[in-house]
Amino acid sequence: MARRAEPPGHAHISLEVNGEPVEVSFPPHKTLLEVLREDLGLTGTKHGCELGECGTCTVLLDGQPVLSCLVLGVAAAGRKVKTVEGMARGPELHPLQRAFADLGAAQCGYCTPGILLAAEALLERNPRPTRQDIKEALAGNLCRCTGYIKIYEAVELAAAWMRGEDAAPPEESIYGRR
Amino acid sequence: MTAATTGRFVTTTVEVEGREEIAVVELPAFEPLPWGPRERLNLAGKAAERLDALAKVTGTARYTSDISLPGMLFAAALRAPIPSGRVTLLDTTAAKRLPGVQAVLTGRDIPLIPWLHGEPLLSSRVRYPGQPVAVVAAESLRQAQLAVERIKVRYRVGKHVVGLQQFPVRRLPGMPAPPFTERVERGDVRRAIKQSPAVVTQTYRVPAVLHQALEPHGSVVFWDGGRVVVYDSTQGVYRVRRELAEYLGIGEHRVRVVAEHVGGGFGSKNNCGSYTVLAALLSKATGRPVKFILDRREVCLDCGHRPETIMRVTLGAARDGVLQAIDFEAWIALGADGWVGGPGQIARQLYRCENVRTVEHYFYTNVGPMSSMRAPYHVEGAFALESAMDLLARRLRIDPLEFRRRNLPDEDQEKKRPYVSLMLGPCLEEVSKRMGWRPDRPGDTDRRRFLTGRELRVVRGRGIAAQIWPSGGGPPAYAFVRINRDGTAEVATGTQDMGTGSRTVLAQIAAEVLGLPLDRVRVTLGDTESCPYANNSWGSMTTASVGPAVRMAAEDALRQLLEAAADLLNVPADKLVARRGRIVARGTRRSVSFEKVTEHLGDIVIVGRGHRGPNPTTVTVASFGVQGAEVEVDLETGVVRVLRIVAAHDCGRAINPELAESQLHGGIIQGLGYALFERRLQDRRLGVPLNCGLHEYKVPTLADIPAIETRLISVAEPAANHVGVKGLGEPPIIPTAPAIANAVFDAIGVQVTELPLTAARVLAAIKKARRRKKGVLGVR
Amino acid sequence: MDSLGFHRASSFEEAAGLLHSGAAVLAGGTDLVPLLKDGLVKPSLLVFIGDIPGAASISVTRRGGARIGAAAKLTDIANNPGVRRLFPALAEACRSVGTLQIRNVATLGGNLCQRPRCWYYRSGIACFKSGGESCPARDGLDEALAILGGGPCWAVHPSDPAVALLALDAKITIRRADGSVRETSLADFYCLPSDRLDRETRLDAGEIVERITVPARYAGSPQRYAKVTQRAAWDFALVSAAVVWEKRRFRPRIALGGVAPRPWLLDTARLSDPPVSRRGRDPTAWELWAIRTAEQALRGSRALSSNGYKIELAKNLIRRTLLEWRRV
Repeated sequence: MARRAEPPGHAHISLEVNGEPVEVSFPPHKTLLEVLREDLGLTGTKHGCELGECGTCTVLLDGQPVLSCLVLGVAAAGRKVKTVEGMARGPELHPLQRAFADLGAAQCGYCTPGILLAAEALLERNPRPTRQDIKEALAGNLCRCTGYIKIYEAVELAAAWMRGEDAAPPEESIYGRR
Repeated sequence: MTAATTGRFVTTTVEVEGREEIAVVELPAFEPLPWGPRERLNLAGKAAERLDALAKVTGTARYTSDISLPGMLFAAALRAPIPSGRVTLLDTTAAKRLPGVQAVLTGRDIPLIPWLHGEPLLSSRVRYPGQPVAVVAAESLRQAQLAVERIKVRYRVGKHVVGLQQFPVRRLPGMPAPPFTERVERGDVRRAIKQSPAVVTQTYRVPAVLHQALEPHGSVVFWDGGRVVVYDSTQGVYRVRRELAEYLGIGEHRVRVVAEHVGGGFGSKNNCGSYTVLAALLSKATGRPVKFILDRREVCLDCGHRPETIMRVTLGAARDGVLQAIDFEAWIALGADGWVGGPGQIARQLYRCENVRTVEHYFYTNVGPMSSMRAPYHVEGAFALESAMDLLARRLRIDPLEFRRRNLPDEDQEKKRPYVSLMLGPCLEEVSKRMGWRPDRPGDTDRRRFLTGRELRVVRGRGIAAQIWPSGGGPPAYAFVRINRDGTAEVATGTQDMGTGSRTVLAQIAAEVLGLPLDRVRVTLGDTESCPYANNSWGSMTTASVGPAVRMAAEDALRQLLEAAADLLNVPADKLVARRGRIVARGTRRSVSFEKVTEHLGDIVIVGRGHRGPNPTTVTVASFGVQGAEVEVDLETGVVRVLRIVAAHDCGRAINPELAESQLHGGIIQGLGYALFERRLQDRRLGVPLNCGLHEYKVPTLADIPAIETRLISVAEPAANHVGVKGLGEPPIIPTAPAIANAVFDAIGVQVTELPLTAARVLAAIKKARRRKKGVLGVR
Repeated sequence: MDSLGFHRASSFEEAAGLLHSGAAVLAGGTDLVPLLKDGLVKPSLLVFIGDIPGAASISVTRRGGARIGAAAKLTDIANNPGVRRLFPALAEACRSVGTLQIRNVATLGGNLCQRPRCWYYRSGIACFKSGGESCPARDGLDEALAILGGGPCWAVHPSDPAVALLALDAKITIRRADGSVRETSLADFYCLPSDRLDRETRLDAGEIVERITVPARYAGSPQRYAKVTQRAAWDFALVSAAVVWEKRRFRPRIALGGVAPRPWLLDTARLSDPPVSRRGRDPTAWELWAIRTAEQALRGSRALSSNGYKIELAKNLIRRTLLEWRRV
């Protein structure tokens, strides 16, 4: 029952990107990152190393954070992809986006989209993450500017908002005094 | 009065990243009265959300690599895999025939552009691995990369030197210039050491480390008629413009450089890169836009580094702990090129000492050119000096913090003049207080148990280190402020924001002057076409250089607006002030809204012009800081984890304390990486780097960070400039690594004298400590 | 890479049939894609096994042990309640791999078959692994290299799960090109460079890993996976150790990672028996035994110029881990 291998040429796949069905064709060696940025014009997802070493290109694949530079575009066929462009609902920011802006958790901003998505997946499955949970979820996203402190704080603030708490960033946090 | 158009020009010295340069400066026709410590300000000095935060969290902020232009080609480079030698064969025939390939350029195909030690760009003489040999432009990046693989090339391999493995270093063979040496001495070091009752000597080594900004270097370039437009990930649009114009042999008016958002720089994006020049040449050759974004490997090979350095420090002190002599000698492996700054500078400045000698030997080596990296040279020098200070404190049996307290400087010892403010002591006391630092503490018994038995698995230690950094900024820097008819304002200045928040800080200053809310001020920067000149974003200079220019431009614009308001209110202009969106006549109830005045003016354009005046000549402007570290050393694995960093830094007036705090966090975490993980690995025999990626080159992750407590000693410095600010971008990285190393020293009783503090090195030190336990236990 | 073909296999049988020379198996891609981009492998066809029905299944019972499909994701193994309860060493090893994003796509089969992280090999410098004639690392920066079983290649095996699975005496089911299957112990699955230089496994051309089986013998037995890294996260092991206790005889099976070109199983016969008497454990005797065992374990290790710290580190790690059972 072995089928013949598909001939070289363009791959044609359909998938869901940020809630919209999308059809796209591209050479089969292209990574999901390249398909998103080049073929779908979604440049919010950044490239930092293209070898799976920095986390900058993190997107959600079926709700799970993955490195879009390591996932071949063809492997995303039939699946749901979410990028930073799909986080806000119209003009209404996702609580994580709001918290990152409020607390200054984005400096140069280049790693921010990837971190936001990794954090969104975390809060989706764990509304009350501990410090250890945040570490495990975000240790794969390198940031060279912030020192990560405000990223921790922003994730915790957003988590509180999403739980419906009327939270403000603490004057003294467990990560250090302000 | 139209301000500042009657400037006078004087020659003076300015300081850039610790270097002094002679320059002509423009004296302002008027300078606003300084904002002193008691000045009541509404916006400047308060946290405000970054103006670009929204763009950054929604993914709409456009970085250079996001630029896509119609008909755009993609570039890739053939880079030499060898450290030294010659290209003996270069055949591009097959590459040119590949589908999609539009241009292949070698050194023969481009004008002669002097690049490295007189050798041209794309030279056949190879001086470092990763040096570009040829470039391709093709319809897709993949096609360009395939074409690069198809270029036939052969090399004759020459002799190479990659670092300072041989020590002491005498002469490195095959290098373009003999090693050069910088020597500075005051007092009589030799005699002072001979007469000092306590003397320590130690040799310290630090590796070459990389900036690793997350946005790779790159440019998108196109020729638009006779003009070249460059989108560039850069820290200096004006510098890139000047250099590119020179390389291309065209007027600066024919070059436009744009950098709207920059994904970090840390010193690695200070100049016009070869990728920019090559993209311009490819664009010219093909008549189409060309995008040339480097991959991470290329960034690691050819975008600069902090140089590998060996430092030998001898310190002498009297029994009471007063420093008598500092003898500091350094050997610096620049790379294929680089600038001479000096790790010795901090040894001449940080502590009071009459007899100081610094000798710095510079060498060229066969790795990519060195570039500035956040507090260049000071970071290296601080590690050696501050480590030696702790060694001497132990020899003297004086607490390290107390030892520093006894050696605080009282003036700028090199220029023999006072500091505008000398905050080293207050920073030291602040850290002491926050860490609860006492000379004796319960941990001492733990240390004895560790040294005598195998009971303990982990042992804790604490250490401190200090820092000084020239932070006054300086001229030239220019800004325009334009008032629109609807009462909004626009600031234009040719600086750029690589993530520090300059855009926001400058808007706060302008809004403060104009009495407008922040959302009615927009800042345009990073564009040579619409913004007047400002220097690179380097040297912790931006706020202190551009800030006063923006303030002056806003004051200039406001004055013009007040003249119009005077007409409306029938009150003399000098009786009017701008406050909370209104123009108010002092001492009366009469006022008019800002937009009423601008509507009144209609389409009359009000443009204020401002520039940065010269620095004070009778005082030195410097930022000080102290950091304390608490670490845990796993005695069985040698792994060091940092538990806590307490940092106190002074920065004059913090225009936006939240952004200032971010600078502290970021600098500290980079310093932590320098202390624990980061190093460029190079094979000595093959002469090539081995860890050109973000996994094997290890920067700290979110799991590595300690608790960080920051404290800004924020007091306006009206004597520094009329905004009252000092620089803060670089200082926080300087003391982190020595503070951590001193904490490890405190924990295990033996110094690890080479960074990073890897498990292998720490385990070796623990072994040594146990062998020498008697000697070590004798102390304290 | 432009002429690269892609095929989505619907069964392991079909996949194995396509594995002629020039074809590579693609599962999560976290190792293969960087190798492709660095030009270290140049396949003409990628055979994707991620969609094969059942390829990612995980089934765990106390009686039957664990059966894990080759395409099971490391995240799913680490979070699987059965694995966590009965084979915590495996769960811990899977959790310690890379980063969450990597574990979300990386598969167990791919992890076991990943190529070494040697600085030289990954930098594209000619070496035994890339078809060259020498080991440049042996004469160069050798601090990451093997202290056991090295030569002529000295690159250490990077897998974490392999170390835990080795201590758990796991079996591997391999599908052959002709459709038949063979089963081998994990210990026999890996080989040393002295046996075979181009690969780290005894997988032949046309063979593909289909399933990993963990025997019930160790289900729920005391066990632990410990990993020492330089960075707190996203790091391969400097040294790692898995300790799994045999329930009946109460003897440990110990495997080490980061020390040899393959996951390294200690010869239990060469280790002394732990001091267990009917009255329980004497902590002092236990500690002495742990120290002795650590010494025995590293017998035969050999340091190159700068990797000697690994010997000490491995001894300390074994001792430290065994001491966790000092008191019952």
